[in-house]
Formats: sequence, structure tokens, C-alpha cells
Amino acid sequence: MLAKEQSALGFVGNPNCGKTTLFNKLTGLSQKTANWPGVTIEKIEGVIEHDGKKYAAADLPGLYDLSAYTMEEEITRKYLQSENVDMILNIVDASNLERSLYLTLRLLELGKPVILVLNMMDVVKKSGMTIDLEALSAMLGGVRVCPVSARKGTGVEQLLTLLKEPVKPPGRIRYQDEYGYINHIVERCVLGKAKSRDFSDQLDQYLTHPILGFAIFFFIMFLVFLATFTVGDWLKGYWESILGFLFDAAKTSSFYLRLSPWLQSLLADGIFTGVGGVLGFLPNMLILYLALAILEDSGYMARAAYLMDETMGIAGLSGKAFLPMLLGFGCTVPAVMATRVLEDKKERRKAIALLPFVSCSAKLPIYILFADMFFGRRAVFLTFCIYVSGILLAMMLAAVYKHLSSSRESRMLCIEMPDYRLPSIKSAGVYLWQRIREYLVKAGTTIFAASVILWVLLNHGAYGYTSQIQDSFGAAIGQFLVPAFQLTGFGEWQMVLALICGLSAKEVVISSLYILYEIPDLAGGGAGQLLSALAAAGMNQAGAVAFLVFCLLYTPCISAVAAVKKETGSFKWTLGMVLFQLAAAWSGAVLIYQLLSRIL
Amino acid sequence: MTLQMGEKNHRYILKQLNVKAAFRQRLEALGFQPGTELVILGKKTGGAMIVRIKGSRIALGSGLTTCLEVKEHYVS
Repeated sequence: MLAKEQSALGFVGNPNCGKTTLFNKLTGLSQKTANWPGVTIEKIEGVIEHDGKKYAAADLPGLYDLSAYTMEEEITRKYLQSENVDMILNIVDASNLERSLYLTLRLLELGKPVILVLNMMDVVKKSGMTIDLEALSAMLGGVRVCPVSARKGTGVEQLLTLLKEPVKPPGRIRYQDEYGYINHIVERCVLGKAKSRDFSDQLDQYLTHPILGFAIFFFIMFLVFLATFTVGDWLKGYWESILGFLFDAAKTSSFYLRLSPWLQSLLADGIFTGVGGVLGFLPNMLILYLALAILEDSGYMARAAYLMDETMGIAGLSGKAFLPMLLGFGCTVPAVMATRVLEDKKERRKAIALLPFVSCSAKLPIYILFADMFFGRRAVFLTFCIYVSGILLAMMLAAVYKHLSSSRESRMLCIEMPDYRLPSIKSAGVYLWQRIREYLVKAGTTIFAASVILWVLLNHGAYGYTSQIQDSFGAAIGQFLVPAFQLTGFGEWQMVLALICGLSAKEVVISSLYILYEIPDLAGGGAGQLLSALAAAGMNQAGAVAFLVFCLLYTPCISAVAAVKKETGSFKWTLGMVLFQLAAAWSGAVLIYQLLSRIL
Repeated sequence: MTLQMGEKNHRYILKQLNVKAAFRQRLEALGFQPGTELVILGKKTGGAMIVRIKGSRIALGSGLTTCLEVKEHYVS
């Protein structure tokens, strides 16, 4: 064999057994972890350094056996078959060897060096069981066994030492009657009976109860929503005054630094107004992501999939498809990727088609701003209606599609339900920090760039630099499209242009409106000034709702469209989805406006 | 009888899986092998269930619970 600098380690095991937690611990990375099967859907590479030696580690999606059934399992199977894996770290849930060892036997059959990592040993100890490690190793052809707790960090040092030891290539073993043999192993090696998983089972009596479970589910969803808007808005007040102070200081210094007037204008009217207008919504975003982190880490996600199975069945999907939907409230991009856990291509595409109807967090600022401006105390109610109508519309469309298409196969949900656990503060913290960082990066790149481009478009026209916004290229583009929006109640070139800019990222709709209506500063009641500008342009409550409906339904942002293209692998399909969303948004907005303008 | 006819907190022995081969393999890896005992932990009116099998807790959709043939397992 060729001498390699680093030996390659593959992290293989059942879904939700703690592979990524261990991987993070060993590599120092902070990949997302949560308590439901199917969080990791890609191969993630990292480096483990120990005692002057380096190892190339690969964290892989979980699987139950080597015949890959879903797309993400295929990634692991391919890795095991084709790549030069020097060592397999088979991570197993030690508190449930009976099931976990099935994969272990399959891995041993591959004939590659394996270390059997018994994870969750803290759970095993707590439940009063002991595992005879030597006997276990002996019964599995002398495989090296290492007990750890990835969450607590115990046993990790021993594992690292074990990696260094030279390995003799194991002989190929063939197992028959796997479960028979596993029973034999468990009887021999697992001493003491585990106390039954009382707590989780008892909690499930309520949380997965046919009636009560639903009530609790909707209550939780409503609570998440309410916290995002009320607690988020309360924090937003303080946050905005801090931002306002910072931007004022920056503006003053740009004046004293004697920057040229056009640069001052770009900074003040373009960047501060645009980026600042969006940054203000960070607190709402944080609360929403905190709630999602708690849901994901507590073990509730799999229960939600079970509860929603019949409901998703209306749309011809299994309850498992609800997992990406829930993630979609955060961001459509990871949600589109999460559809990999679904079994067949048709089901995946259907789930992907529904995702844009689930309002992502980037649309939050638009809802909050418009609802606050036009509906005052009824703002939260209006926003709630927008969210719900998006989901209802998606379900209705899917149901119609299901009815029209001839396929009558029933979807078969089959998902493991992990034990409940207290969400870890650390993993929630890591998760939140990553979201904040992403948001700041987005504000500094996409939203920043969109603001600059918009400023250029608004300050340049056919005759060069202009301070008359009406003569600018931007106005020309907007005005060209205005006729198409006459029936929607927001047929103003500024609003149309803002919507186009919003294709880069949905928050940009807000930053663009601030720039287009030349709202100077956000701390001193920017929303109030925007309201008067919009009202002067003829927008009323009906128009505002129509605008929100359009935002809810129209084409997702560029990154989401790119993710859809990547995951479906079809340009035609993606284009079809984009056009369909546009058509749906336009018809929805017209319908709502024509209806409401007669009532309100 | 099919699993869907089963009752909460009762024990059953799995007799047969009437599903496509690829899916059967997946279920068997999860512990659903003929002859294995399972307990119904929860059941919804639509027929979806939560079962405990081989130490794990697994949710099964209503489409699936009709495909699993079982017989009741009486434990004294």
C-alpha cells in the first residue's frame, strides 16, 4: 500500500446515534447536531490531530444497513465501497445494542479495520446496565471496542490512543442469522436489565395522544410564532436604538472625514439605510431559530412527523416530509436539502415544490414591517393568517395534484423516535451563533451588494449621474413593469423594483423600500416615514395585504432556487417551479386586493 | 390479522411483511423480522402507530401497519 500522510477514518453508524457529536468533539468543528434521525445528509470532512499524527475524518449520514434506501444513505454506502477507508469508526448507541449491532455485523463483513465505539455510555451507566467489553470484542472477531460518551466527552482520549495502535487486517467474516447471533451477544454481554425508558414513554402518552397530541402540537407552533413576534419585537426596540446610534456615529464621521459627496450619499442613502433596515430584525430571527433549535434537540421532531402523517397524506406525502417543512420556517435552502431523507424521487420533488409556500425567516421582516405599519394592534393576527394561508394553499395544491395524478401508492412512514432529552445549551448556542453569523454575513454581502447596485441604478440615468430619482435607470425598469401590477394594489414602480431586488434575498425587499423612498434613518421612526411615503403613493390596507401575499408566494431567493436546481438535478423542473410561483403570487395578490378593497 | 387491528399495550409476534423487497430489507434492518415480538405503544385513529421493537421506538404510518401481519402474543 502507498504510504499516505493521513489515514482516512469513516464515521459510520445508525441515524441519531451521536456520530456528528463525536465528530465535532474530535475535529473541533461545529457541525449541526440535533435529536432526530437524518440531521446529517452530506459527507463532512475534518481533520483529527493527536500526538503529532493527523487523520482525515469523514462524518457520514446514518444508515441501518449497507443496502442504501435513501439518497443520503447512498452517500455513506459509496464512501464505504469506493474510497480508501483505512478505518471505520462504527458508532453505536450502547443503550440499544440489540438493534445497533446489525449494522456492525454488516460492517465487519467488509473486512476493513473497525473500531466499535460504544456511545452514550453515560445513559447505560445511569440505567444500571453494564456491558462486558471483553466478551463483546471476543464475540465480534476481536474487534477493538471503546466506550465513550460523546456528549459528556468521556472516553475520547482513550479512543484517540486507540487510533494510533497498529492494526492487523482482520479476516473476512460472514454472519448468518444476524439477529439470532445478536440476541446471543446481548444475552452474554449486557448485564443487568435496563430500566424501561419510562420517562419518554410517559411523555409520549400525552405528546403523541391522538387528540391531545394534536392540540399540544398546534399550541407549540402558535407559541413559537407568538414568541417570534412579541418577544422578538420587544427586543427589537432596544436593538434598533443601538443600531441607530452606531449608524449616526458613522454618518457623522463620514461627514467630518470630508468624504466626497457621492460617497457620503452612497454610505448614508445606500448602505446604512439598506443594510440597517434589515439588521434591525435580527432579534425576531433569533427567537425563531432558538425555538427551532429547542424543537430539534428535544426529540420532538420525530413526534411531529408521526402526528402529521395523515395530514401530510392529504398532499400525498408521508409524515417524514413534515421534517423539511418545519426546517423551512428557518430557511428554505437547508430544508430543500433535508428532503433527501424521503424515499423516492417523486415524493422528494413534491416536497420541494411545497417548500416555497412555507414562509422562511427572511420574509419575517417584510411581514412585521407591513403588518405593523398598516394594521397596528392587529399586526400579529394578520401575520399569523399569512403564515397559515401559505401552508393551506400548499396543501390544497398538492391535494389537487394528487387527485389529478393517477398514482395511488400509499406512503409508508417509518421513522425512529428517539428518547426525549433536555436540549443542550451548548449545541443550541453553537446553532444560534451560526445563524447570527450567517445573517450578518448576508447583511454584509448580499444585502450590501444589492443596496449598492440599487443606489447606482437610482442615481444614474441615460444622462449620467442624476439626483432626480425619476430620471434614473431604476425608475425606468420599475415603470416598465408597472402595467402588469395595476390590478394588485401596489402598482408603483418603487414597490415593483423592490420586489425584483428581493429575488437576491427576501430581506432586500425591505432594504430596497427604505432606499427607494429615501427614508433617512431607522432609529427615528423609519417605519412611520415609510408608511407616510407608501400612503402618499396610494397604498391602503388592501394593497398592503396583497403585497404581503405576493411576497409570501413569489419565487424564492436565488440561493433557494439554486438549491432546488441542485437537489432535483433538473433545470426544466426548477424553471417550471419559478414560473408557477410567480403566477401563483400574481393571481393571489390580485384576488386578495380585489376582494379586500371591496370589504375594507 | 394485520398490525393495524392491534390494540395499544398488547404484544404481537410479527408473521409476515407484505411490502416491496427493498423496503422489506430496510424494515428488517430496523428489527422487523418475522418471529420478532413487538409492543404497540400508541395508536392513532387513522391507524398510524408507535411500536417498540428490539429496544427501539418506531413510528409507522397507517399505510404500513396494514402491510404487517401479526399474531397476538400472550405472555403469562
